[in-house]
Parts: sequence; structure tokens; C-alpha cells
Amino acid sequence: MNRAGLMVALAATALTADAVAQGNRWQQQVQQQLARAVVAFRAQQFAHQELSRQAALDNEESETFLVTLQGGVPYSFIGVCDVDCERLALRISTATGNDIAVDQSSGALPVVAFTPTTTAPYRVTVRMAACRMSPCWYGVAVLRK
Amino acid sequence: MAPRLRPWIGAALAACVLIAAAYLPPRGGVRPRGVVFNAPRPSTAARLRAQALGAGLRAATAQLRVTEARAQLGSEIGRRAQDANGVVLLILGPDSLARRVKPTVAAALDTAWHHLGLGETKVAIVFVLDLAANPGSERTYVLPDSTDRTTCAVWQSGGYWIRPGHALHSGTNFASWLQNALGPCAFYAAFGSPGRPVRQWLGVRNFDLTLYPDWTSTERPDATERSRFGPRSWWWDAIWRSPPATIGCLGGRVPACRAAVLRGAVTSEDSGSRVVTMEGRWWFGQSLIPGERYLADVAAEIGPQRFLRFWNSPLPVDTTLTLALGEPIGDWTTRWERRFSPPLPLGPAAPLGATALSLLAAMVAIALAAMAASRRQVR
Repeated sequence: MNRAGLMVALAATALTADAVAQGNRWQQQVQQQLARAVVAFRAQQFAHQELSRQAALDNEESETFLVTLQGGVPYSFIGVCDVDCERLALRISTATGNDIAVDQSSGALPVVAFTPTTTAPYRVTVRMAACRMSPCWYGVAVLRK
Repeated sequence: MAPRLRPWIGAALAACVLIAAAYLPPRGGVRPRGVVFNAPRPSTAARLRAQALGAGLRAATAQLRVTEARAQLGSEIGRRAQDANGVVLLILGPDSLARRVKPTVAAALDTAWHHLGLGETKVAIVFVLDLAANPGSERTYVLPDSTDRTTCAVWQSGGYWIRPGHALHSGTNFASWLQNALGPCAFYAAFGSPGRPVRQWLGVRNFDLTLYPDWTSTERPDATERSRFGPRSWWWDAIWRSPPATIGCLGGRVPACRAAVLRGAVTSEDSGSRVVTMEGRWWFGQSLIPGERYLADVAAEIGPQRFLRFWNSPLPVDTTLTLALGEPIGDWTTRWERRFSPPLPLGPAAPLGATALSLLAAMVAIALAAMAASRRQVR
């Protein structure tokens, strides 16, 4: 799914997303955006949610976590962030640190599609590239077909 | 020695004493040590080491107490932040005293919060008021870092303001004391965590430019603060212990003001400690006088949006602060300094009183010489 399509899908599902809002208003923004994104991607056959993660990062900080992916299965990685966040970067790499997939956009809604060849743990790196008021909350969901 | 020479020698010596009294520094008249309570003691190596150890111990104790308080408060911090009331208050000490002071302190903090224009904030403040603290303990800040980006903690002793057996203070000064106690945490609450250059710069300086977070007052400074300055009331103890750039800035020198502001701005090391401890008499040896309110005044003048861009900027501090101020840092700071005091007289210029005294002595000497010459008889 391209970015414009995703935005349209998010807008269409905005009213139907069933987000359980908790935390401050920035956390709630992220929860709601992530819930909408997941609903939109489910319409694109990415029915299984492998992982969902939400946290806060200061400007120019990054965070890495591991996720085990199955070989031959298409995955989508979706990132969202709060209203103060201007750019969020997403990168997938092997456990040894070799980059495999990177979101090339410069916005606050990175999407990475990736089909691993082998079943293995992979590193997902989230970088808060531009945040007007730190910390900025972000959310990442990993979906598979 | 001829008897007629003695008066001349005596007069010359007296004139020397008068001139020495007028010219020899310190011109401002440092008070004799031991007469006033704040007279500094000599800084021997052992004393400096003991002071450093004591400061480290107090910082560690304060951090431990803050950690305990946060564990004790648990989810209360998140809930209070969600309720748009960003200060979580915890009072340590005797229960009876804590119960007595809590409503007043909570109300004063709430007033300060709204006075600073704060509502729901990304960084919440945990205010730990320790009424059982040992004398000498003052104030400690545990700033957000990667282990907890959303909480800034203040550990504050009751000090002079809240003491067992004494009536609780109230009024403007008490409210100001509590508001100032928020210090750098108020900046974190209002503008979020600073960008790396500003964090490094302030970390090196022990956040000395953020201690008075009053960016809303229109009348600054008040009479109490002004009393620290002025030609009749220079606080010489503090001035002689200040770095050269600080004194140069007080004297109205633009490059010195720029240097005083940018001290620590070129460091490449990120301050490892998230604990900032304020000792008693922290104002001795300040890099900028009165630096405690500098960034609040910058924020008040340029507005919150421009200040936020400076605070969060990835650019070097001198660049981003110049952009925010819209003029060279030294020029702005020199003008800011003049709001607090007239220029400190610097350089070799003789003070007015000493000059008058010298002229008087010279006139007396000339008159005596003329009188002697008029009575002189050549035989």
C-alpha cells in the first residue's frame, strides 16, 4: 500500500477505530493513530498483528527492539507518532546489524514492507528524527499476512 | 636629621597613607572575615575534597529519596499528569506537620503552575518536600533521562520556610520560593526536554541559568534582588569570587557578557549526571549575575514559540541563541544586565572620592610649601 492510500484508509477508518485511550493526550493520539493504521492494513490482508509497541523518545534519539519474523511471509511495519513529531524513521536490520529495509520518506508515518527469506530475529530501529517538543510518543505495529 | 625636616617627612608619610587608603584595592570595602555570617572560609585541598564528597552524598541521598517517593506514588504520577495537574506533591517528615502544611503547599504549587501558564505537560513534576532533611541540605533536581523521559523530580528541604514549631509562612515570598524551587523542572515541563547542545551546555553549568523559572512577570527584579547590586551596595564578597567574564559583564563589556553566557557551550561531552544539586550559597561564584533568571527573561522577551525552537534546537548554542534573540548575545545580555545594576567600575580609573581626597592632600601640601617659602629668609 502506498502512503497516499494509507492516508485515505486511515481517514476512512478514523471514526471506526476502536482505540482504548490511556495515558496523556499525546499517548492517546498515538494509540488512536496506531489503531486506525492497524484497521486500515487489515483491509489489505495483513490480518495478524505480530507486535505493537509504544514509547517516548527525545529529539534525535533512537530505540531498537528485536522481533522474530517467519521466512517467506510478507510483513508490514507501521510507525506513528504524536502531534509534536515531524519525522519518524523506521529501519529493519538483521540481528548482526545489516540493514534490510528502510523507510525512505521524510514524514511522521513511516511504512516498511518486507518479506524475510529466513526465519530469524530481526532488529527494528525507531528514530525520532524531528520532534518539536521532547519527548515525542511513537507507536510501531508489525503486521503479517 | 635636621629638626626642620621632621614636619616635612611626617607630612609626606601622612600623604602617602591617605593616598594608599584611597587607592589600594579593594575599593569596595570587603568586610573583615568572621564579622558576617557568610564570610567565606579558605578553600584548602582537604576542604574542597570534603565539600565534593558531601555534595555527592547529598545528591545520592536526594536521588534515593526521590526514587522511593516515585515508587511510593506509583500510578499517581501518570494519573495526575492525565488530569492536567502536572505537579505531584509528596511530603516527607512528621505526619502532623505534613498534614498541617500540605494544603498550603499544594495550593501554592497549583498557583505557581498556573502562573507559569502550564497545563497538561509532557514532562510531569514530582515535588518531594522533605521536612526531616538535615540542615545544610537545600534542593536537588533529578532530571528526565533515557530511563524516564517524562518525570522531573524536585527534592526540597523545608529550610527556613517550613520548620517544626514555627508558623507556616505564606504570602508572595513563600509563593515565589516554591515557584523558584521548580527551577529547571519548570523549563522541562513548559518546553520539554532540551536538545543535545542546550542540555550539554546547561549540564556543564549545573543548570544555573534556569533556577528562577518566572517567564511571566512584568516587573523584574524586585527590591530584594536589586539590593544585591548598585554603587552603594555592591556585594563584594560575591563579586570578588566571580570569574573574570562575570565581572567584565557587570562592567558593561559586551565580549565578557557573551563569554559569561556561553561558558560551557563548546563542550562535546554530554553531562552524565541527571542530578543537579543546589548547595546553600549557590550564588557565590556565579558565571552570570543574576544568571538564575537569565533564560526565564529570554523566554519572556522572545515568547514561548521562539524559545522552544532555541531550547530544542540541534544547532550549537551560540548560533541558536543568537537567532532566538535576533541580535548578538553579548549586546542583548549587556542590556539585560543594566536592568539589575549600573555598570561596575572597572580598570585603572580612580574613584571619585579617592581623587578628591588626593587633590585635597596635594592642595594642602602646596599650601604648606608656599607658606614655608613665603617665610623663608635668605641671610
